[in-house]
Parts: sequence; structure tokens; C-alpha cells
Amino acid sequence: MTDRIRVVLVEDHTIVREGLRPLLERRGVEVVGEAGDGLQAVKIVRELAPELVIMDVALPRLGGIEATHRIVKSMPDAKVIMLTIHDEPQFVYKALEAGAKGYLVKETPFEELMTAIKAVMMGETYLSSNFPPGLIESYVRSAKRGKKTDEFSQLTRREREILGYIAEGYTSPQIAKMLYMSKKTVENHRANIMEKLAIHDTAGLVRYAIKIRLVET
Amino acid sequence: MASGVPRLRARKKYSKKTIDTLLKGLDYSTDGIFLSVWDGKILYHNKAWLDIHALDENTDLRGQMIKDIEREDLWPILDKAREETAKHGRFSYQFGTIRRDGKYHDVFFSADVIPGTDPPIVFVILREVTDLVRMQTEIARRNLELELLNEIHGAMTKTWSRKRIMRHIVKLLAGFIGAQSWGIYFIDRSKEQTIMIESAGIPANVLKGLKRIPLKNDMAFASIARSRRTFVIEEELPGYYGDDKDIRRLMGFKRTIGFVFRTGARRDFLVIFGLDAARTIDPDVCKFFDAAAKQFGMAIERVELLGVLKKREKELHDLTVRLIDFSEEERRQCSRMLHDEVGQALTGLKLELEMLEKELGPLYSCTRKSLDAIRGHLRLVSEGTRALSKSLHPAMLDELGLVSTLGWYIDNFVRSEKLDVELTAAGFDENLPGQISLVLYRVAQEALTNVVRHAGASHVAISLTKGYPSVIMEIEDNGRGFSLKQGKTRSKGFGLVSMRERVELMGGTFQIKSSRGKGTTIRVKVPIEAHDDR
Repeated sequence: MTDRIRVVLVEDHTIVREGLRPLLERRGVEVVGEAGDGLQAVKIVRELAPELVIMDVALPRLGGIEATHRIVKSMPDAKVIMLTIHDEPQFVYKALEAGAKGYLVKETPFEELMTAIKAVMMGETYLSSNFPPGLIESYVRSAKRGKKTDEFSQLTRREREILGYIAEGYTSPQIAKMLYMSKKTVENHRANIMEKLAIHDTAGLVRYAIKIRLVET
Repeated sequence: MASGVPRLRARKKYSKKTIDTLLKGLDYSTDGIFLSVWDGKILYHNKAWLDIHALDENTDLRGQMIKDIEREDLWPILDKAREETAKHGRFSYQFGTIRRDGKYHDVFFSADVIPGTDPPIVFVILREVTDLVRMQTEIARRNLELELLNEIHGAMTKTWSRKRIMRHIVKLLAGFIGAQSWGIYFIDRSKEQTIMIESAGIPANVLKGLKRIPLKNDMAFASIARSRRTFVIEEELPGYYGDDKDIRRLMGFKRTIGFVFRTGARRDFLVIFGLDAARTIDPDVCKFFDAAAKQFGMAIERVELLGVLKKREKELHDLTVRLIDFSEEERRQCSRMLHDEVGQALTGLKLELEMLEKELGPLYSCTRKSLDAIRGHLRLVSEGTRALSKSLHPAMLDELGLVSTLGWYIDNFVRSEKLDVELTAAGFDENLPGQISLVLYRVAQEALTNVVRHAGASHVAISLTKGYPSVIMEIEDNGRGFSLKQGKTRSKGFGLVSMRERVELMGGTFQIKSSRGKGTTIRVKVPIEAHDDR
């Protein structure tokens, strides 16, 4: 590695930043910027366009995962490695979902961080060695499954509310009266709900609401 | 008393001696007896008869006319007796009358025609029944009073409002004395006035003037309010209900009876009944009203105490919830402290250690060994700290939201080879107010702990639905269930009962359905609207 890799370090604890910086620099990684919270991180990364971001999860103002999401959204090529205390797979899933390329637990020896940096720079995804193998695959599986079962997420809150009333047996005029809207608006919402859920009659809507337990049976 | 019964002797041929002996026997009867021809002269009377008439025992009225002796107001009875005896041979009647000495007494009167006499001679017995009648009336009244007290007491066991109990009891008492109208007033001692609470039978135009009566304007009300006993007002008093509108004159009352009763909170109430002129009020009724007033006060006091008890219960409930919230906040802070301060410092230490190792170079093998040991200890402390932090409050809940945290909790503490767990979440974008996430998480934790420990279930399904206006969580297991009556909190921590209170305090609902052998379903519904406090 001839070129020095330019890195932004996002970490709200000075003690960790100060411990990490000399270790990185000894190994030819240049820390070009530091941030202590998520919002600052997004700003600095956009300004400096570093090759790599090392990001904590628990951050004030804006969490590390959400910050990663924003960074990757505006700069799809950005490479983010999460470095955190949290070792639960749920964090890993969320981080990967947000667009992180690596996930390391702070407990792992520093050498592994170097391995991860190299791997990510090569375009791979790297997870701490203390996670069981196959974690990424199981994440991909669960992500697929989640997408499939969750048409409900596509509904707006108003549509969800109206679906609830429909399932409880209220008619459009009754719902219109309760929600202070015109009957026509209710009908529009109803049509949208049916379209989004690909259900074409009221009985089907009621069955669906019961299935997802929006109403009691 | 021998002479003067010639016809009797003439017709039936009784000897004078026989008749005299017979009459002599009657002399000592305790019943008053006399013999006479109707509208004629008295043929015979005994001492008891004189006694009933309040006459001296040595008086001899033989040969006098009955109507000269009996008072005029009794003549109709004598006339009636003559008619009836002529038809049926006998007549009896009980009546009350005033004696010569002014004493009231009750008398039983019976008259028989002596057969074979012409003009008919009647044999009259007068029996003094004053005591008997008084006793009978007394017993009847006592029975009625007892019944009434019973009813009042019965009202005490009901969970009615104070006003309803007051109305109920006053109506009973009004019926008892035959009152035309009644009114319940609160005696406002601080403002020296009475305030009408409720009334019946008082015309609207009069009622207006009764709403508030300043005690200083009204002698009667003032003295009543001061008294602790049942009072009866027989006459009109000046200033009663104000000079120009005497309620009793307006309504044709002659009498007023009322009493004051005091409740536990030292609040005094005045009850006044209006009676029409024909009604009399027995002094014993006053005594009964005194007793009734005490019962009345007790009944109201009980209702008031129940009210206080309910308030206390509510306070206790609020306190419990506050305690839970406080404890949650403490846990959260503690957890954060461990994570942020201790955890990060440990990470820093670890990094320093690695730096040191690198700078040491390969020569110092002894030092390197102890550095390894330090790193080992460091890892143990780190792990311990993290575990403690997580058990106090999962940071994940704040960072990743409810669904992920539930997933993590299930993976680590619930799911096993014996227990299959299914978690479905419809429409969860995780943008749930922190307070709701935490409550739902704690409810799920409690519920799942119960499932693992007690239910013996093989399957549990958790569903989360973020609908509007509410988020709904349902936890259903196929375990052995429990009878809800015995289903007290068996888990440590705050238990499901507290969770229920907490959910309800957030405006949500909490339902448990369970019966032996049929599994358990918990359904929690919390409105999202009111909690945009994240």
C-alpha cells in the first residue's frame, strides 16, 4: 500500500479517538478529519470526501447507522466501517442495510481493523471474526423475507387508520364523519389501500387486517 | 242495689234474691257494667263503670237517664247501639274519647239485649283498653321504624353516590311521617347560610327563595342549624323563610319536622319535612328521627370514605407508575454510564495497551506475558460491563428500535430447541416514541419470561402492528395457560400487573386471555398520537 489512505474518524469519545489515531498513522493510514457526532460526521465527510470512514454506532445528535445511511445515499462510493461496542447481529444487519461495508467490534485486536480496512478498500465486505460465519447470508435472507411480508409499511398512516376502521366494520360515510373528511376522500383512500395491498374487496381487507392483527378476531 | 227491676222479675219469675245475688257478683267486675232500658233510666251500674267515667266510687246513678250522664259526642254511638241491638240483639264498638278529667282513653263497648225483656233491657260492658291500644300502636310503629332503619342501613351497603343515598333515605322518612314535601340543605358554616341540595313537593315559585338562606336572616333556620336534635315547629315563626313568603302558609303547612345530620368530614346537612295540618307528630317520632339521623350520617360518611379510598388508590397507582418510570430512568442512566464512560475508557485502555506492545519490541518477553494477562483481564471487565449495561437497559432499543431489540432478546433469552418463537412486524418503520417502545419491550420481556418459566409452550407468536391511531402488540403462546383469578404476578421485576397500569396510563389497553390448557394471549394497544416526545 503505497498511497496513504485518507480516513475520517467518527467517535464521540476522545479517549478512543486518541488511542486509535497514532495506531492508524503508524500503519500508514492518514486521519484527515475527526467528528464527535453524527451530524458533524455527515458534514465533514461531504467536505473532505475521504476514502474511508471509521464510524461509531452510539453517537450524540445523530446515530452512526443513520449517519452512514445519509453518507452512502449522497456518496454511493463512500466506504464506511463501523467500529463499535455493540456485538449483536441486529446492529450488523442495520449497519449493512444502511450501507456500511465493514463492521468491527471494539474488542477485536487492532490488527484486525487493519485487515478490515484492506478488505474494504479492495471492495469486499468485512465483519469481525467473532461473528459466526454466514451472518451476511442470513441477513440477506431475512431482508428478503421482511420485504415480502410487509406491504403494510407502504400504507400511509391515514390509510392504516382507515383500514383499521374498515376492518372494524365501519362504512365509508361513518368513517368520513369520524375523521372529518368527505366521503369521497375516504373512498379514495380505500382504493389506494386496495391497490397497495393488491386486495380487491372489503372482506379481503378485513381478513388482511385480522391476519396482521390490526383488529381483534 | 236491690230494687227497681220489676219487669225482669215479673216476666221470668226470678226471685229478687237471685237477681240481687247476680248483680252483687257484677259489682266486683273490673269491666264497667250497667243495665238500662234504651233512652230510659239506669237500672244498675257497678264501681268499675264509675271508674271509667272518672266518677267517685260512691256515686249512685241509678234512676238517671243515660244521655244525661254520657257526653253528647257519644250519643251517636248510643243511638247506633240501640239500632244494632234491636236488629241483631248485640253490638260492640271500640273508640277513643276524653274522660271527664280530661284524660284520653280507649274503650271497648259491648251491649247485649237481655232476652225476654220488653221494653228491652240492655246489658252493657265497658272495658278500658287504653293501655292495650297504646301498646299495639307502639308495637306497630316500632315495627315500622325498625323496617325503616333496616332500609336506611341497607342503603349503606350500596355503592350509590352520596346524593342518591340522601335522596333514598329522605324519601323513606318522608313516607314514614306522611310528609308532603322535603328539602335537603347543606349547612355552610363558613358563610353562615344553608344551600339547598335537593327537594321534592315544593312549588317552583317558592323553591327559588330557598336555594340559599342566610342564617342571620332566619331565626328558625339558625336555631335548627345549631341544634343537634330533631325539632318540630308547630307554629309559624316570624322571619321563617323570610318575612313576605312564608312557605308554610303558601303551601298550607301547619307543621314542620326536621333534623340535622353530620357526616364524617364534619359536614352538616339539614333535612326538613313539611306536613299538612291534619298530621300530628308523636314525640316518639322525634326520638326515632334522632336515631335515623345518626344512621343517615353514617351512611353518608361511608360513601365519603369510599370516595377517599378511591382517591388514595388512584394516588397509589400513580405512585407505582412513577416509581417504575423512575426506576427505568435510573436504569437507563446507569446503563449509559457503563457504556459511555466505563466501556469507552476500557476501549481506550485496550488501544493504549496495543500501542505499548508495539513500542516495546520483541525483547521484553516477561513484560509481554504480563501485558497478555492485562489484556485478558481487560476483556473480562469489558464483557462484564457490557452485559451489565445491556441487562439494565438495552441501548439497542434507543439505537435500533423495538423490532430489532425484541429480535435480539428473543434470540438470546427466549428461543430454544423446545420453544419456537415467531416475530412478525407489520408496518414498523421503528419511528416509535421511545416511551412506547420501552413499555412494549418491557411487557414483551415480562410476558416471554412467563412463557419460558411457566407456560411449558412449544410455540409463541409475537406480532407488532403499527397502525393508526395505535400500535398493537400481541403475544400468543400454546402453553398450559392459567386461570386468571390465580394469575397474580409470579415474575420478578414489576410484573404484568404494573405493566398493565403503565399501558393504561399511556391511554392504552391491556388484555390477557388465558384459561387452563388453552394457552395465553396478551394484547396491548397503545395510542401513538399522545406520545410524540422522542
